[in-house]
Amino acid sequence: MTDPAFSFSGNVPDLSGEEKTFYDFCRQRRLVIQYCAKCDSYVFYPRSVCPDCWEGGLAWVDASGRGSVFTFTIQHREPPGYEGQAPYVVAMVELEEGVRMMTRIVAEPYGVTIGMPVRVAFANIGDTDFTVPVFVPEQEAESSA
Amino acid sequence: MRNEPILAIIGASASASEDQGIYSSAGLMAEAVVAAVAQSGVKRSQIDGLLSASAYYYMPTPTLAEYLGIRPSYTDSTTIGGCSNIAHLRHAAFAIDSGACDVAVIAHASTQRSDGKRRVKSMSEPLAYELPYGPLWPIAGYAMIARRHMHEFGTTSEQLAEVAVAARKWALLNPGARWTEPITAADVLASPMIAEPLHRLDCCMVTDGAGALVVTSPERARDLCENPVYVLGGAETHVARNVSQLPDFVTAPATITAPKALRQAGVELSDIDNFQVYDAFTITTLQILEGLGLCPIGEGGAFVEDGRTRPGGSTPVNTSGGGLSYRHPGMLGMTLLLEAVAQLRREAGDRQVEDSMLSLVHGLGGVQMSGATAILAGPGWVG
Repeated sequence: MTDPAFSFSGNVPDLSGEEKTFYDFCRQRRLVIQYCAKCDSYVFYPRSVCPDCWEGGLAWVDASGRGSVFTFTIQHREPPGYEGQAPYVVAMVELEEGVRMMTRIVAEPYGVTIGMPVRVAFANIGDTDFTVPVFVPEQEAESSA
Repeated sequence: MRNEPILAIIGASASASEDQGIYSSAGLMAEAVVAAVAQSGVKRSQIDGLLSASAYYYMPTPTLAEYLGIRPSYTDSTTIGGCSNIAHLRHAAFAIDSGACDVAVIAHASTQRSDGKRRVKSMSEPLAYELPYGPLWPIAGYAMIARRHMHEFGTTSEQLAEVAVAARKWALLNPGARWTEPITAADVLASPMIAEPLHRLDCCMVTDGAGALVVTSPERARDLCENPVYVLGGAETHVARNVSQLPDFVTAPATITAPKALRQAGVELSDIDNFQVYDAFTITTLQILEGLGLCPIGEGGAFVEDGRTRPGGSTPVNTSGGGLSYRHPGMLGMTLLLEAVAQLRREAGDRQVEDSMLSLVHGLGGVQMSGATAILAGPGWVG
């Protein structure tokens, strides 16, 4: 499938270290999280050590990209840098791997529900090459495949 | 037998110049400090401890010490969000008990309304995995928490609205309150959506605010001051920094801190006469009341809906009108503490909760990032 070309204007953070690594993968349209072999569990956000066992050298692994909406809000006001975009959906998505991340659901806001299956897509911030993972409803992802 | 207090508050004051735009954050703090010290029976030369948290100053204690022309031997700039000043009480107790200082000042100020931006002032670094999405901070976080609470427990917008209605009823008794139009639940639900399910009237206001407390050991307090307010116990916890890292979204940090603080104080939850708790948003208060143990987790909506937190109710909550109707200077901890002191000194005027001897103060930092609880007792606690 080809991703629709999502983008929204916004603020690009200064990144360093593991933050930069994560977003470098995003620029390649890969959602990469970490895996701790000792705990046999996945880690997000990326860290130098596992927050459960403090083991270092976590493996970077491609996530399935599938998950479900844990909770969400439909925002009617925007912070500076995001003007003109409301209403939009800011959400917590739980990936199949068991980790949770903040994101946006790119969909009709009033069609979003808790538990809804979603699949990763990628959005550029404005006209930069800074790319963030966003999610779309699973059915839409399938129908556009 | 009563437990010994861990600290005494011998001076407490707001600033006289809030919302006027004539002083900086340091200027408002200094004004509050001078007023609080004037009540305390100590001289400025006796102040050797200073604790402050700020959304304005990278190093608030050096900034404030210099502004005031004092050179403390002990300072603490612990910044854990809106509950910082509540945590500072316990930190000050440790410092004074260890001999690191004898008399400390705790201070906070915000000029966020005078600044004219109508936004919560923050010096926070942009969280790299959350801020790029444009969440309205911290409203979006609490909106997602509210949505989850509704999903898991069937909590309704009407039940959340009761928190705002109760706050407004208290504010009507407080001549210092900013929002004093009577409101109903229908008004809350009819106010514009900010971040669903939170309406504008589910959200606190953005105001200036400044306050200072002078604290010392309970032993010294008896010689210095007529009406010390005692700190009987305190606790803090640090849960997460990013919203995504919260363990479950419905269990407030109060579940951890309240039992510890009550145990240290040697009192029961049922002994508490008034509750001064964070109400940046209606959901915040609801979850704190659950977390304190006033009702089971998930039953906060049913707990508040009969009006028991209103004036005259069995569980007085946020007797000033709180952040939802009195004022909210970004970090609400000092505002909550000043109201507890007013209640315990019996200086709360029309909103005085009769025979108030014990206050529970609970604050949050960030989006359920941190929490701090303090148990305060009135001057009559120590005979």
